[in-house]
Amino acid sequence: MSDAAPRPSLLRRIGLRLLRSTFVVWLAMTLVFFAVHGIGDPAIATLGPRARPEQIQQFNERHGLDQPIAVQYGHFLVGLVTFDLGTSWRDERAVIDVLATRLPRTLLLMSLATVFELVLGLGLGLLAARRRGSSIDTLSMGVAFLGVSTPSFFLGVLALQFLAFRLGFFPVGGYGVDAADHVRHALLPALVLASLGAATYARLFRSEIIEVSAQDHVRTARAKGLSASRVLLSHVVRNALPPIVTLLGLSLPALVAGAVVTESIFGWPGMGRLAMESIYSFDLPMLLGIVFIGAITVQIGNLGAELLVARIDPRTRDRD
Amino acid sequence: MGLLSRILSVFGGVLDPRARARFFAHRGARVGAVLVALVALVAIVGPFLAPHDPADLLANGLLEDGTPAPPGDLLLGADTMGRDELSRLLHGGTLSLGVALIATLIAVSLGLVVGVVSGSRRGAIDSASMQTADVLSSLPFLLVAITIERAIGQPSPWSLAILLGCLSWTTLARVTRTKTQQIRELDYVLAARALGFSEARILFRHVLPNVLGPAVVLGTTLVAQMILVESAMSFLGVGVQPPASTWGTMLHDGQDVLSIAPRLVLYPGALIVMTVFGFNLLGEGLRDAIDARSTGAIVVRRRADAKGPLAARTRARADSMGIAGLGVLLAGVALFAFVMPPVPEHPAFVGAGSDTPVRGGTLVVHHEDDMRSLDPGVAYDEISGMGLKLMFETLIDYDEQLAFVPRLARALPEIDADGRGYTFHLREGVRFHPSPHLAPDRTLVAEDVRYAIERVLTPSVGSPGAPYFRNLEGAAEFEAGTAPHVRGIEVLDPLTIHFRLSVADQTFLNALALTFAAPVAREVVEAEGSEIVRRPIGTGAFRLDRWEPALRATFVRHDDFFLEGQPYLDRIVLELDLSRGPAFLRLQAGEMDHMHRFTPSDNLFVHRAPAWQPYREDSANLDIWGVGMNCELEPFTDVHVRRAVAFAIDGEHWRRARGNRLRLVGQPLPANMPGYVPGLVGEHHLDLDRAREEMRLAGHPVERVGDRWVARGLDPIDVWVGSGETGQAYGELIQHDLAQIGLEIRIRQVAFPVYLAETARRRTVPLFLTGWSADFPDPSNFLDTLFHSRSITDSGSQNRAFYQRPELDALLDRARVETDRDRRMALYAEASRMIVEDAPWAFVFSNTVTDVWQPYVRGYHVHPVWRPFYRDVWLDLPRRSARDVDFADEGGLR
Repeated sequence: MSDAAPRPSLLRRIGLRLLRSTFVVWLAMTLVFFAVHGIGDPAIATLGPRARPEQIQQFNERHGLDQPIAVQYGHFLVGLVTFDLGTSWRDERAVIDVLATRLPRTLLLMSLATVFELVLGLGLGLLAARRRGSSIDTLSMGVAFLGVSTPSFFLGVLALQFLAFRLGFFPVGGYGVDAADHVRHALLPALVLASLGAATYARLFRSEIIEVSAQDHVRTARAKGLSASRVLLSHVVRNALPPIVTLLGLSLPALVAGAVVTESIFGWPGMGRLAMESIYSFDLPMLLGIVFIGAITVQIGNLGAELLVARIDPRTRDRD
Repeated sequence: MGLLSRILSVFGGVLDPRARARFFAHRGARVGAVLVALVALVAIVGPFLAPHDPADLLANGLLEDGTPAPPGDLLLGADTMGRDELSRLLHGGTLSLGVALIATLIAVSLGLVVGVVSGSRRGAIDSASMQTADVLSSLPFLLVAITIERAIGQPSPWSLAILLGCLSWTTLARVTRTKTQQIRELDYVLAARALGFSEARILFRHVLPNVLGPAVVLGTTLVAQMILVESAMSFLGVGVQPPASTWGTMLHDGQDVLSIAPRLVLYPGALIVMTVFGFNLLGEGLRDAIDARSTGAIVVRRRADAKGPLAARTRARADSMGIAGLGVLLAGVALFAFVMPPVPEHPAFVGAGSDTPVRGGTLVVHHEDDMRSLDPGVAYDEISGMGLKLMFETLIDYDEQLAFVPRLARALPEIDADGRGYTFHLREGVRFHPSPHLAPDRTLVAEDVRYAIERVLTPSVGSPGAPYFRNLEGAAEFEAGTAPHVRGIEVLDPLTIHFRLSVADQTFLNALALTFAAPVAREVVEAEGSEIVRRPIGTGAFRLDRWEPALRATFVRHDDFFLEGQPYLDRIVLELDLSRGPAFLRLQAGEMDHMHRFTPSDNLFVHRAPAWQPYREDSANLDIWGVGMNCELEPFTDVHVRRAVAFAIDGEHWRRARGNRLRLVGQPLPANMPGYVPGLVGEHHLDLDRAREEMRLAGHPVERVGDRWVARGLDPIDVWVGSGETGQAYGELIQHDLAQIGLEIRIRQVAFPVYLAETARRRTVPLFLTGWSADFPDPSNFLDTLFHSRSITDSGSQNRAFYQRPELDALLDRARVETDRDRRMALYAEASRMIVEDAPWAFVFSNTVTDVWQPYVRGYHVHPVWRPFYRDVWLDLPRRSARDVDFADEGGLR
């Protein structure tokens, strides 16, 4: 390991990475903007394909869609930069205010889900790796394989009916009234949301552990007489973790998407459900706001994952 | 060399004999291949095997009480609408798989092209395409897909497949690019180039065969992912649109009947899992088979990519693993189907046993929609009304026998000799809810009553209540802005107000009982401005504490309420935007205290479960529902088309599909309403021959084309319904019924506030599910409000059919002022006949409402006009668990 810990270079890398994230968000929003206004047509999406021209014109005037597309795009960009995302078509509230109430709820759900993903996924993966080739290995990998094949809406509907309602283990959907209650209500949706991730991590972590265990430095550590648990923790698990963290960052889009489904099933009043409410009324400013916040969340998550990997995996720090 | 053999040789490269042997020796891959083959078989031949048309509402599909037919006559039973489940599963598979395959084909082709191109050319193209790939893969996929799919005016399975394909090529492109770069550096490729072979030849001969391997592997798993995304979107209602359906939509429809027909969730769900599982397993097997052949140079390994090939020894034994997974799946399904505890059949809690009202406690109730506005001058929909009745008092109201009782007035009014004038004396010392804009000693005065009504009549307020007060003397001058006040409202002293009408009107007192006439303080309204919709200040028993949109509204006791000792409750929590199914689960779990709307299967349940019977009451609602047609829009400008629609609606099937709570009505007034015409029922019930004859008269003859009916010269028509299960179900019923007269109907599900706003706009919505709930028990409340030309405005029309007929207007105006009750009702009967003849709506049903409350909820009475009505409720607290309660002894049962 190099002693000249390149701090400024790290900062610069973060700076560059932030620039890149900004670029990615911009490009993403631009793509979505032109997909909506170019391929689609907000007036027709709201009024139906058989709307009459004067109706469409009226609609476009009401929502400022009669201006040239370049002007609209300009307004859109300025709005993004200043975080002024316009007002909802549905009830004329400021989009950013609505998102500000909804985002923390979704973040609560997502963080809880991430915890479950890691605990369940890593646990299952470790168990399978330690008992490699045994029936426990086969069974846990079978479950994990089933996990990546089971849609969360199927799981969610069943969990709500059986685990929450019939067995009474969890509240039957909803959001609760105070902080502790929110967490209690978030448990089951978070578990459902975590199922895909947990299964993926279990599979990845198992193979990483097996791979790392076979490497020379582990053999050396073992030969040095370190205890088995010490070897496992500081040599095997530590080196098997970075890919998990990277994947954690990369799978954020899936988590955001999963929240749409899970929140709808469990009546969790976060961004995902807001997305569905806005879909039905085709509340375009709200939808674009949600995609925007979603894209930013993903970028922040990726950045966080990269930094974390850099911390726990010295090899990446030494590169470039 | 022929094209065919070239293609074959390319695929030969993908699976050379050794790889093929490995593939077939791989048990997991074999299981996967068998599953995939089965699903493919179902998808290909399924539609031909289907015993019924998947969209047909079968007469034997629903039992008399509306239960979906259990397996028997129909092999797998029927779904909630009475369609054959087996046929739907068979057809749904074709569509699910078709969409997924097309999407995958698009994604794989794009991925290959982009990958190979950017792999062979570095520079701008390369970096641009990889940037795009990065962006796409960092987008919240489902959100973006939903947004774009919805922005496309008319989504179809094709647009869905293309969209999904265009969003999913990135992983393959990246892998292909790396691989292309590696191959192009290999010696034999360099040699080929040195020999002067063309780039195209190198591409086809050397690069393509090598990148096809990963493409096949990734493509196989991509099919699995596409099935997941498509079914998720369909589950959310933004994927494949009815009448087409996939397993995702079926699962969505089935979730509300999980307690009585779990098969409707388990079948499509298990099929999705098995299909996805099969494709994943097949992908895994292919990877193993192809990978082992790979020379070190072309193993692509992205550490972060979970799907990247790993060294073979780290891999789980995919064969046994696949079988284990399948075993777990089957065990799980069996567990859910057979072992889980049954639905609890009794309430979770009972009361403490007090017989006198107790103060305190929180009542939790729900509504499916969000509130739109809490401004009493503007709000005119059911849910807002529910909130308004808690917060606003009026001069007079109805008791449970529909007689007027004074509320803010000290007594019922003194009526002038000519019947055109009313004098009210107000209670003294009535206080508004606390507000910073009110003086501390401010009490209710007559001026507040005048202000409220004049506000409703102010054009800029845009109140839908204005028509109720236009009969006041001088209302027209006030509306026109030529008079500062309405001459017919006189404030005689601070507590006395006198109303004077232009002509005697039997309904004026009814109008005063509406919340439009609820007194509001001018200083509050003016200070709050547009915020008044969210910060209402009234004189009612409860005040608004908090309204969190789309989540809940909390009302707390108004401590200075004018009736001593009331209300009993501390707080009422109204959970918003909560659909019926989940709400009922909460009711059963004791988390919800009262409900009055149920999904069809829950409705059956509350009528069957003995322990719930003492806490349930059925009552006929004063409402009318049907299919509204916009008389200003083609093709409904033609009365024959409208009559055809009315004849085509199969009310009997609607009744059963909605859990047996509809009472069929063929006219604008429900049967429990004065003015109802007994003989008129049935005139417009299902008669397809007459319906088609009417279509012919309209110039759109209906012909049989293949297996469906087509009306000549008509474009598809959108039917607008609210979002949620109810809207969707009625949309599908309308779609099915009108297909019988050749109308192609597309369902537009929109949020309730949008529905309200757009159907009220002139020349906007052609066809819509519509209904009206009485706000006072007089025929004029239905007929004038819904069909009088006076109720038409450009953007806030209550006459949403935009139907006008001068003769009808004249008739209604005469009836309104007629003082002899019998003659009055005869006039209304004539009006009803006229309306039925012109069919601005197809009148279909009125509701039987079932109120269900918890045993500890006391004092709940079904109010004939305001429902649900929580003002006088009290809670018998503390409640205790009902685990040991014998309900046969407890309530009024037996």
